[in-house]
Amino acid sequence: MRSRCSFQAGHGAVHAREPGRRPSSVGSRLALLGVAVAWLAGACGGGGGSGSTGPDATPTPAVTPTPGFARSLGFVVASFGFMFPETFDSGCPDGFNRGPIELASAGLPVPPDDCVDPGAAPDPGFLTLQSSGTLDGFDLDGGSGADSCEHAGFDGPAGESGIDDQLWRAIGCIRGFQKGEIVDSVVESAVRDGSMTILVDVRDVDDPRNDDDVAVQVFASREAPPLGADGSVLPFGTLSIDPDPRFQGTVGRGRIVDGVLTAGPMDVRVRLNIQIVEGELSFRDAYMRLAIAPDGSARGGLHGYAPVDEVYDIFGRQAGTIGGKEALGYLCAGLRRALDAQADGGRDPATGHCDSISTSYRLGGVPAFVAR
Amino acid sequence: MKTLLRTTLLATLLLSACGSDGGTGGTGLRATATPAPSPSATPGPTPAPPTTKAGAAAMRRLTAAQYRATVADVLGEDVAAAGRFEPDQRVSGLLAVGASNVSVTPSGFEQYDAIASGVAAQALDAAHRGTLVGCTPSGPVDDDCAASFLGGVGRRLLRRPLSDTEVSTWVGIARDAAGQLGEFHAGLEVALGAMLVSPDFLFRIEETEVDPQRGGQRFTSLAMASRLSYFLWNSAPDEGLLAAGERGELVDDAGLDAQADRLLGSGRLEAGVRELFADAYGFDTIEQGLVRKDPELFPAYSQGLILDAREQTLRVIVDRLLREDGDYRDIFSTRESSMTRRLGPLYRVPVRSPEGWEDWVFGEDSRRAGVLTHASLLALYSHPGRSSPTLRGKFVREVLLCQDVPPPPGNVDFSMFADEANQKRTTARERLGAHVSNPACAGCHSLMDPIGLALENMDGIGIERETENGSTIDPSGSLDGEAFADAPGLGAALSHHPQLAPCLVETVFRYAVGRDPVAGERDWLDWERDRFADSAYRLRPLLRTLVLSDAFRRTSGPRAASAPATAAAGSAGESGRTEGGAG
Repeated sequence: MRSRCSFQAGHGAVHAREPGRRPSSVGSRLALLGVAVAWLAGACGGGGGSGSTGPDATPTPAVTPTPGFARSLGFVVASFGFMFPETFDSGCPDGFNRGPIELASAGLPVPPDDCVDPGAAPDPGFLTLQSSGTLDGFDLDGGSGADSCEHAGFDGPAGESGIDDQLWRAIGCIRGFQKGEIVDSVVESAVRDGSMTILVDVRDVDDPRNDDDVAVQVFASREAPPLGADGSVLPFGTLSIDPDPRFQGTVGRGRIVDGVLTAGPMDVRVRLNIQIVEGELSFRDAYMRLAIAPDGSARGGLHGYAPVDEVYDIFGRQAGTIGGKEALGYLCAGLRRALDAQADGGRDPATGHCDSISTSYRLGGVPAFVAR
Repeated sequence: MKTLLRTTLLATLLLSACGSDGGTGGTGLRATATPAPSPSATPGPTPAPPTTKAGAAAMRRLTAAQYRATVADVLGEDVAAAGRFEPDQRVSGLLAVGASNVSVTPSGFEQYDAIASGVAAQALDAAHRGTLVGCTPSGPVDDDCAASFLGGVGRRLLRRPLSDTEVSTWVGIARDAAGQLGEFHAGLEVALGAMLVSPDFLFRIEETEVDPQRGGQRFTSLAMASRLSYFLWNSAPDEGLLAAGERGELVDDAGLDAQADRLLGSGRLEAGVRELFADAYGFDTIEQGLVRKDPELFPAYSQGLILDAREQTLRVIVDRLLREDGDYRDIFSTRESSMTRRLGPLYRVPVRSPEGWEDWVFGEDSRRAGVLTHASLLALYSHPGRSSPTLRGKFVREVLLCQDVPPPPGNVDFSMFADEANQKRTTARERLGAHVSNPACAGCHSLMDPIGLALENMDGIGIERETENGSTIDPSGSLDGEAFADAPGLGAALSHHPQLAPCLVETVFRYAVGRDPVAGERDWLDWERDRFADSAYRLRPLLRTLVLSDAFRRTSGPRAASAPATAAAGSAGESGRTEGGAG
């Protein structure tokens, strides 16, 4: 992977620490996740985009001292979506939630619903994911974080426990959020068409395969990635970071081991403007793991806590009022209550109430020049 | 209705323009016996140029670019000549030479007519007529106002003053049309549209005359105005040049010298130089969207990309040759270039500016140096699905070194080269090596392939690569005895090549006069090559000595009549894009 970006320490730099705020090193964490790392390294290669601009396009591993772009690895996210648990099929024993149309079609009463003020509508009941399942992610709270609320974790691919993704537990039984369904395809398109451009910038890189201390920052961009004739994101495009500091994530420290980058915690905020749904997707105390392929593409996940209000604003208040609950199959009053019930982060010691929810998103990136 | 009116009138106009105004009949050239005043010649450079027996004059059809530029200059920058033009034809490697060998086909005339209709409608719409017409008509018919407009705009479009008779003819067209259409500007629109399809506009009809001092034929002062302007600016003469031509100053050494300096010092010279190199390099196929690639193999390729690549190359040329007044040979070795965001992924370099161009310098460790490593030429001289060492080598031999490469024998077997799945011959070098084991192919391929193989680290659209089908690419080779290790080495070897600069001299000459040199011009070309070297291979001095030369100013007279070539597809065969072999 050719290095392109000069180091510039970002504001709000935070040194690496373990998920769950334990002061142990990321290295010990990696030991626990060894199998997961190996899986990622073996699975990588596509990165979500074509990763290629021609039939014989080859990796460019040499480092170039390009002013402004030295000692860094940059990516533009070319593939994005929910991280689906592998045991999904058994997760919804009572089936999927039903939206207004499905209820009416089944001859069932359609309860009153209010997507703008879901608390004003009666609780229609809501089906949530019941299975633990297997999910590649992080134990974000270390199993029993003081600012966490009661929840059940998933298992990691190597048998780890406590992998957090309460968002999927809340929405995992909504038809339209399933793999290959509407939301999955819309979000997948959004990162390619400029509706939700996400950049990952890794700096302080001395060795793109093994480096024990790198700085990672995630940015939004207002620019669309360059696309090829086949619709794939072209590698080695240049994209400017969003000039608004709110969309310039904090710096997370991390390391690269055998081409697998692990970094965090860091805060991330990206824009989304998908059709008429406009909002922000933010992650607090997020961790990232990316397997970097020889061609410079990357594949992995972004995991962190998202404010429940933001999540509901996008999936419920906005999407629900424009036909989303009919198309996806849910009622807003039920969705909001499910999100509140599954929230596991940002616990208020006084009330015991959690206002954020652990999330896991998969992402694939192609090499890009992140212009600051 | 307007088109019908114009078409009805055109037959008369065409006849009168071609036959009744001093035309020679055979070529459309007009020789007049009226010499313009000419003082004694000023001393020439040292050593003095050899005597030149110049070649024939030609009637040249405006190229599409010249048509557009002329319309924009005369009628307004925002008046677009939209439509598909009768295709220009490439002859002896240049559209400029082809322009001397084409007429207008019936279908081509229809295209010109449609374009002219659009141009005239724009020029005389409510937004433009106030500026262009310059008078307020007294009613639907106002001959004085029509004469004022048509006489003025006609002088610029036809590049010569119109006689009273001609003005009356055009005014009559406008009057008749206005009478039928009931609106003054509608009448002007018909007349202007007709003017834009008249032979005097579509063709550069260069008048010659007897040189009163030296005997023989020379181009008239007015003809010199167009020769200078289309050569150096790729457009019609501006007011200053046209006026100088009308005053007879351009057959005078001092007058020509002054105008040459003015044109060469103008920013508009850039347009002329860009067209010169675009023509020589075959970039017209890029502009026409004819350079296509397999989207599955080359997803990064797009028409926008190749247009940017074309512009990148022309920018390097203009920057080095005009802005920096630099050595022509350097364009084949310079690391300096320009980038856009769209080109960034192809070259794998960062481009900070979301819009427009920014400077870029390839590193010393880069494989990119000189225009041969630009995506424009690499993609243009490749196949839709793969690179072509042979096409790339042929371009260098024919276009940059002016060497002839014979066409391949008719019975050549390409199968060995085309078999990219051959596991034993994974690289183009290996496949070509097997292909040229045929003695009938070896002679020409030995000229072309070593050059093209040096560029094999760039694929069919110019993206850098280390391997082909898993095998490491070997870009080393030699150019006429000078060994090189890679593409930048090829650029360096080319810049040292003794034929490089002389070839440019010949190309510029052919571009300027619209024909190949004749025997009587060979000594002058040799002299011009020496002057080019004396000037450290700078372009402006080359252009200046050329336009001041007898080779540019004098002629043996009209070219003998011959069957004109009609513009048609197939010009690619002249552009170096015939394969000349499989590679």
